[in-house]
Order: sequence, then structure tokens, then C-alpha cells
Amino acid sequence: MQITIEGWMIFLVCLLGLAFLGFVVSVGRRLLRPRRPVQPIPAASTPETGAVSTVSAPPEEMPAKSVTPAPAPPAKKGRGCLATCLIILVLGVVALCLLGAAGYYLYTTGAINQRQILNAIGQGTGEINLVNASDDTLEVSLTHLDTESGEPESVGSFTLEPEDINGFTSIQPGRYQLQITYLSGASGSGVCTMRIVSGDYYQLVAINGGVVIANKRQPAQTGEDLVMATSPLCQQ
Amino acid sequence: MPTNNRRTGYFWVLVILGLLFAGCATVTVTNTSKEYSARVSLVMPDGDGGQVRLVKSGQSIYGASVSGGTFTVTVLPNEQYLAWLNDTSLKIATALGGSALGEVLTGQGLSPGQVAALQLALELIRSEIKDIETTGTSYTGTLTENSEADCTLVWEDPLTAWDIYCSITVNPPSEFEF
Repeated sequence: MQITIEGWMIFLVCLLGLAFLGFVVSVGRRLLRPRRPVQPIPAASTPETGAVSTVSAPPEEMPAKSVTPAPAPPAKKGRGCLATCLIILVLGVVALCLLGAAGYYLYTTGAINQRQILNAIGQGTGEINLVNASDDTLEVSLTHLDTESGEPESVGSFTLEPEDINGFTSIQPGRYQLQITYLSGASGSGVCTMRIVSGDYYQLVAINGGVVIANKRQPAQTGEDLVMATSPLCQQ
Repeated sequence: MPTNNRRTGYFWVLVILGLLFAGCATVTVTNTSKEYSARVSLVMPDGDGGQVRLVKSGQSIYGASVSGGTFTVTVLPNEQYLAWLNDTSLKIATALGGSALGEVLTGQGLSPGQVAALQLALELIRSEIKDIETTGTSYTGTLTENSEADCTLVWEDPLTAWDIYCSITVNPPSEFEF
């Protein structure tokens, strides 16, 4: 059975809705739970008689008015709380439906995509883009360093002709080594050890003599920061 | 137990994410012209930067994405693209010093203003290419997981320049996928 991404989005929205519903019901039940009746607090024994008086047993000489039990408001309060909870519940479900519908519309029209959604919640991937503005053909490779096995794993490689642009997408967060080699042997080849986090976008440009690098998350402070050979972006 | 609940939560998050990423979408762009090369930009759903390649006659380029979504194929106006690339290269070389002579870039001696300007120039590269893309012939389609688009570039005539035709095929999922 093939489940499309739209189906998964609806499923996730329903899951979120159910979770929210459960939360509201849980809070409502807690609020509506009847409170324990107040237990009479035993008064201290009088040294003269040793008798014990309680709040629920007023002395005979107390006027009748003070003995009359107060009306019990909890039932009324509970109904009010129930109504509030129901309103919150309905509003929450309506808000979730609107949110889900808006998200679905934006997704189907291409205004947002799965990558942007994941990036927005910090569960996304990174991207590296390289412009070859040099006169040389470049050999580019990316290696994942902090793998579960502990052994470096190749993510991929490509050859980039002069005037071309290419890169790596959907890079899982972690530590990576990017190697760029000028195939003619000209100066500029180098290695960049970078840390990728969700939503990262590294822009690199290779020109004759070296590669420059920038990342919006960590802007350069000096000229050396922009050069791959000396950039702190490449020493992580 | 809290630990077990947490582990169960992680497990389901991983399962859902795994299912979301179960598929793969691909795009192949082939230049059918027997005379002309085309400067092609291909942006897949899982990336912003994409690739720009010179596709010679009869050759193809290929893109793959781990998720479905919108992809765009554009034949860029080559002269405009090369002019932009030359400007960008010159801007960097001038700021960082002497690379046109084959010297190694050092980046030394830049003022904070120059550094900020260069940082901004690098950050704007993607949007500048998008601007060039708006002046070219473009095709935008939507891929689902396990689907592939086969696009052909056809040189019509100097007036209409390039046309792009894409057919999208949804492949049946493998037996290991849900």
C-alpha cells in the first residue's frame, strides 16, 4: 500500500489533534474532580475538662443561624468549568483544523515543502552548494565523520566543470569533511571539516587560488573567515 | 516508567520519519538538440541551491531527492548567467586579493565593511540565480515519493528558443515499503 506524503501529513495532523484532545480532556477531568470534603480539625483539649470540641459540633449556646450549613457551590462551579473546557476543546479542534487545512493547502500548492516544515521544527537537514567560478575542473567529495559505527562514511562525490554549480542536499546533522580538489593541481585545493545542523546552508565559491565559504548562521568577522583554508566554519 | 515511555516515543518518531523518507524522487533532463548546448538549472524538492550545468547536445543531467515536492527545470540565458558568474568571481577576487594572478587567497586586510559586503554577496548567490531563472524557459512539476520525471529539452527556433517537456511516472513501491 502506497501512502502519499499528503496522507502522512493528514495522519500527523490527526495525531496532533488527538494528542491535544487528550490533553484538554485530561485537564478538564482534573478540574472537574470533586474535592475531598474538609475534615474537621480536632481542637486542642482544654486542660480543665479534657473535652474536645469540633467545628462540626458547635456548642449548644451558639445561635441557630451560625449552625445552618452553607449552600454547596461546587456543583455550579463544576458546570462552569465543564463549559469552559468544552469551549477550549472546540476552539482547539477548530484551530487545529484550520492549521492543518492551511498547511495542506500550502503544501499542495508548493508554497512549502517537507524540508521546510522539518527545518522549521529543527528536525531538518543541511545543504552545501558550490559554484565553480574558477578555470579548473573540481573534484568534490563529502564524508560523514561522526557515524554510529565510528568509521567515516562517504556521502557522495561529483566532478564540477568550470562555470557549473552543484552541491549536496538532505545532509543529516553531524560532522562532515568536504574535500575540494583542483584537478589541474593549481593552488586552492583543501579540506573543510564542518558541522551541519538543521536548516544549514553553506555557500561556497571556487575561484582561481582558493575557495570562499559562507554560512548565514555564523557570519564572517574577518576576511580570513571567508577563505576555506582559514575559516572557522571549516575547523569544527 | 518514564524511560520506557521516552524510548517508545523515540521509536515512533523514528518510524514516522523513516516512513516519510521511504521514497525517492528522480528527475532526468535530456538535451535533444543536435546543435546546441543548454545551460540548465535543476532544483529538486529537497534543496534550495540545486545544480546548474551545461548540457551538451544529446547529453543528460540527473537529480535525486529523498522527498517528494516541487522541482524546477530551467534553461538559463547563457550569456546572462556567464556575466553574473564573472561579476561574482571578480567581486570575490578583488576583495580577497590577487587570485586572478593565481595567488592563494588569504582574505587578509579586509575592513569589517568589506567582510560584511562579501558575506552578503555569498548569501545572495542563490537568489541571484533565481532572478536569472525567471528570464529563462522553465518547467515546474510536482513529484511524489517513488516517482520520476523524464524531461526533454527541445530547441524549437530562435524566437521561441527552448521548450521543456516532462513526463512523470509513479513507480510501484518496493515490497519492503509500507
